[in-house]
Amino acid sequence: MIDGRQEMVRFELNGVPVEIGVVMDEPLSQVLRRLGEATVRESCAVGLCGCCTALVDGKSVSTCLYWAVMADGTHVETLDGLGSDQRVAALQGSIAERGAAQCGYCTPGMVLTALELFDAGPQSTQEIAAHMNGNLCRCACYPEMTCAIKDALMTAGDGSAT
Amino acid sequence: MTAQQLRRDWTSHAWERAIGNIRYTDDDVPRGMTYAALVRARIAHGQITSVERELARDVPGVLGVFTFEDLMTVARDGYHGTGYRDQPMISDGVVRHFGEPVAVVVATDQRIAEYAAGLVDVDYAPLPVVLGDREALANPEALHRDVVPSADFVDLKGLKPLAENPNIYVRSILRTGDFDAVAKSAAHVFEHSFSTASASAAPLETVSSYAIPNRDGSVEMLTQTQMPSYVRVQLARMFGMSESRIRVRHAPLGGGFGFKIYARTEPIVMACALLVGCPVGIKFSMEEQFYLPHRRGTTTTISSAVDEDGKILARRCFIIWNGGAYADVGPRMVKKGGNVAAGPYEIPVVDIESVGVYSNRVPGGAIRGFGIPQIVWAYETHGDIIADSLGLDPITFRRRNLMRRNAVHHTGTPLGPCDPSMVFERMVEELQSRPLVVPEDPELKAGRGLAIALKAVMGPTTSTVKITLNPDASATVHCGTVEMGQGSTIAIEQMVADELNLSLEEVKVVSGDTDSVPWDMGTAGSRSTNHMHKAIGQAADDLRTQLRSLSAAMDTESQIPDDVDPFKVTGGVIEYLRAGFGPMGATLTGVGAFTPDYIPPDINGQSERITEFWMCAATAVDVVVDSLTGVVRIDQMLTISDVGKAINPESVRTQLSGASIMMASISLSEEIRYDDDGQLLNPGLALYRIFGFEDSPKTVYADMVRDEGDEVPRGVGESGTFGVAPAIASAIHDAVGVWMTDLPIKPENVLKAIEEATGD
Amino acid sequence: MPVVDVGSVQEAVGALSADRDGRRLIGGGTGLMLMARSGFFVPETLVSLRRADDTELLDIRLTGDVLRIGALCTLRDLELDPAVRRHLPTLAGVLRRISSVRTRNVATIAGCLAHGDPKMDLPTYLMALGAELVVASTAGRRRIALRDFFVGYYETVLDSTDVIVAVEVPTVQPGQFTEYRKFTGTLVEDWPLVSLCLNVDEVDGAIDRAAVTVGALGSKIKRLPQLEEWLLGQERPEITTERNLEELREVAHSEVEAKDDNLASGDYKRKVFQVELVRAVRKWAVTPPRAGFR
Repeated sequence: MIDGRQEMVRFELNGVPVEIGVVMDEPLSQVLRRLGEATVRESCAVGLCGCCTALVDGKSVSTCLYWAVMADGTHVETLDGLGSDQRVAALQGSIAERGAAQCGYCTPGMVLTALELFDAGPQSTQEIAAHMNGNLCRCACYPEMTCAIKDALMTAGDGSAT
Repeated sequence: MTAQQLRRDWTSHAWERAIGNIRYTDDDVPRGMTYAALVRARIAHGQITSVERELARDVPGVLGVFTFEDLMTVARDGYHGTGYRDQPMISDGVVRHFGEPVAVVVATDQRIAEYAAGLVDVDYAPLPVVLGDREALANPEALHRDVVPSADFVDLKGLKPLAENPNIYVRSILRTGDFDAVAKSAAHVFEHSFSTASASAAPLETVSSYAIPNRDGSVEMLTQTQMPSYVRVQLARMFGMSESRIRVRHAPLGGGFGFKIYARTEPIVMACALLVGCPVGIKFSMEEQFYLPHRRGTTTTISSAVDEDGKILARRCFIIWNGGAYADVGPRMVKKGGNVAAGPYEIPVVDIESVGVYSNRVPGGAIRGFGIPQIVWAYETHGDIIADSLGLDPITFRRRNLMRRNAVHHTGTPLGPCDPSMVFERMVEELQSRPLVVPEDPELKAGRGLAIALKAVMGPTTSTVKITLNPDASATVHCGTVEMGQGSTIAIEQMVADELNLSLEEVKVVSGDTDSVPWDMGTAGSRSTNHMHKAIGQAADDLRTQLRSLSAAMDTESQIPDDVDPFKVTGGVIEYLRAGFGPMGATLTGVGAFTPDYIPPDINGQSERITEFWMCAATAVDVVVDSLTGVVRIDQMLTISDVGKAINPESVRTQLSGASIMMASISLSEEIRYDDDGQLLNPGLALYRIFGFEDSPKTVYADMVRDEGDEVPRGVGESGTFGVAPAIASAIHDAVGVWMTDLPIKPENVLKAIEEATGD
Repeated sequence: MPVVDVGSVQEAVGALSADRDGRRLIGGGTGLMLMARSGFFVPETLVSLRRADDTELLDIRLTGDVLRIGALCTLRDLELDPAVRRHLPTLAGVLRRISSVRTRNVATIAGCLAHGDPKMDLPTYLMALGAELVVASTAGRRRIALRDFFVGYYETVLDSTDVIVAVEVPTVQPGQFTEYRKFTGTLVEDWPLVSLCLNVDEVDGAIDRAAVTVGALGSKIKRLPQLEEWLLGQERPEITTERNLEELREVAHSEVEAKDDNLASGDYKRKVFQVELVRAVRKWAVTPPRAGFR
């Protein structure tokens, strides 16, 4: 069915209210792309790779499987809107130090998915790998990224980031 | 951390990506873009009898529904291909593989285009489908008639299909003696057969390209490509335009892996844009991406004559490369793969036949390693089985046979600074410090395996560079190397900074636009750093010469003495520029163009110079096998590679590590599956499963070696892939005593082998 | 209106009844979006309870020996909930191996069950634990045991106007042992190729009650009465004698069938089922009986 019928959806994107017409079955990922969110990248389109990760009401979600019509009234955050988040900064710093990005396409999704680990404090390598397993990296920076996340969690534990 | 605090090195490469600062191709799609969607064949082989497009045309927003004939109204030549011009932009009336595009719908938006594409009804008269490697070789019906060689590459000169079997589009021979004669008197003769399945590179940034026609008749092509210069040449040829009227632009790639090479979607969007007169783009879903060329499947039969002590006296190989519907990179892969099929071993007599065949699979392309991993899979596993049969351990067996320093390869080309024995000994040493960990659970068995391999660089092809000295002596570098995560931008900055005695902050690399960047064959086959290094050296020499002549205007003591490098004179460059151009100075541009020397091989495959350089790498893995289910997990993986001079050791390690994990995924998990009718069964990442964090080995180690005094960087991007599969197979044998001969190594097959071995 | 926000379960039933074919109840919507994206099914209208102030949909509440989980609880809610960790201590481990944290943040327990996909982990686990569903419909509320819930491939007993309100799971009791085995094959995390759950109560070292479920192998998740029967009365450590295990494998072989598919042969999957079943049983045999809280 392609009738061009659109619904107005209102949500907060990185703290700024937005209002946009969406098609009934449009995934949030495509709406965020239309809004210019370049760090939200649709790749596998089946919720398996993590490239389209954004936070909806503070929780990481695969936006490719998230109904845009259901985003009405939510707070959506992307990597671009989290520049001042200490946890994000800690992750970005440790990713740089560990050289944990090759092509970089998956990296923003990795950062956002890793955020939830901060609630649990420092984690073992296995725990980090288990949490991150749903994020794919075809360049296979997995060992470097695991170390980077571990470093960032330790930094947070030191109180130098929250 | 801020950008200012960062060193300009691998750290900043990762930082830019972690903060989301890289803009990829799809992030800057020009306004007014319309979209093309492809109607794909639902059969694997057949004649198109009708294309019903009225329904699609009537959908509001649809700008056109085109078949090959329509596209040909704006094209001069609708065919492309690197060895043969055998591939039409979209099906030319015959469908040769499942999923081949048969029509293209252009609409104002992608959803509409995709919806309308679903309304195009195509009828076919089916033809017999041929899928398997041996079946393709035996197929009596020619899949193509009268294919035209492309003549693009000097190493593919004289290419033509075999008269007796036109499905064999290339046959490569390397022969240094009579295998049978040696085998007759040898103590042992072994023969084994190995296969590999098709696999997909599946970069996470799925393919897209956008054609923007300008009012003056020129066309801009924004595309994801590892080969912008070549894409421009092909488009100019196919559409009868001057190259200066075609501008190819690209952003950094979200993964390349040899997948985004040559012309793929570009001719289609170009034709559509010329037809509808407005910008047309195409963006593939991950699922659609699986109809672009695959790593080709192979069947390799390999025989060795061996003496009492395990010294290999002669080796014979027969390799079938299942090329799918179109030859693509096949001709070159078949030749290059054939050349190194005997391995990095001193073998007096080799006899290799390597053939590429057409079939009704999706066309064969390349993934990281360019066919070499398939070859290494065969010869290293074969070697391990021989060693095992002779009661030799794999290390001793290899030591008896490995090529050493200053060896001459079977092709007749010297290995130069590449020394397989040095790589191997470094690996053995590393392994000694890492004992195999044996699991407590008796149902889990641990084992260790290793492998070593040799590859010649892609070539002979040209890289050029333009280095502009700015009035303040800083440098702007124009070159066509494509950044796809390997860190080429940083490496080029570093090479130029070293050559011109500048800091990294003073060097800027400009790429991504054929309007401003000179020719480069492409960023593939581990050629770029080496070739660019040499081109940069030439450009720097050009600048030195020019600076010298500028300084001739100065008083004698300020002139540059013959034995002094002008870039080493403190403050010199600014002064020379001012001497030449006045107090504000001016820019000075030096150019470099490097093309390797090449001597075509004779009828037996012999040449003193078949490659610019060789790469050698060894891989070792520790696996744990679940002896009751056949599941194999990699505990530890090590890669040692001879990369020459490492421009940036951190990025080299990351490249080696990433390549090895990617290949572990291909070796254990990845397989393109077809049903008997040739339908591709598992497009997309839900069905085609790739390694994630937890599948990655617990320990990954990568390091490099080089000969003292070896100051030239060689290839890095592929080396980590070479030996992964046979090292895994060898480790599985060490763990549970069975030999696996088909890739990927599936748990069910491992269990079956264990059961057969134990007589269950 | 693409989304009808309803304020209560009863309103949801009403809204769904108004257009049985075009409307679908949405929980997290991940499974529904997968269907929509593949062109399989696009509902015209979604009925959502996200704005309902009905706490029973989101509560996780202990009532006697039963943990009542609201239908809209996400898998991640369950994974992190202290009451779940205390009363269903093996559940968090099962959840952590389901999909990604991003999907668990969105997918709801009710959606996971109503999907009817035999490759889902959670229903295989919950069925062995004896879970029941509370379902609202035009005819009022009813309870459905999970073991009676699945009818076929992606097919359940639910009518398109039914609304799952809650899932009730008996809490773990002293002497109870639960082991969910998920066999994924090559990848560490994947949909299961074979899955099973063993849930037994023991009295004085002997199995007093047994539930065994199998997922992934057939068109639906189901209990395995023959295996359950065999397990009754088995004692530790004797259950792990080779003779007993051989008998166990034979029962499994006759009761559990599997078809060839693109991923593996039926024969292989059957073998793996037996291996994993034996592993679960062995684990029971060496795990000290669970002490009680009471």
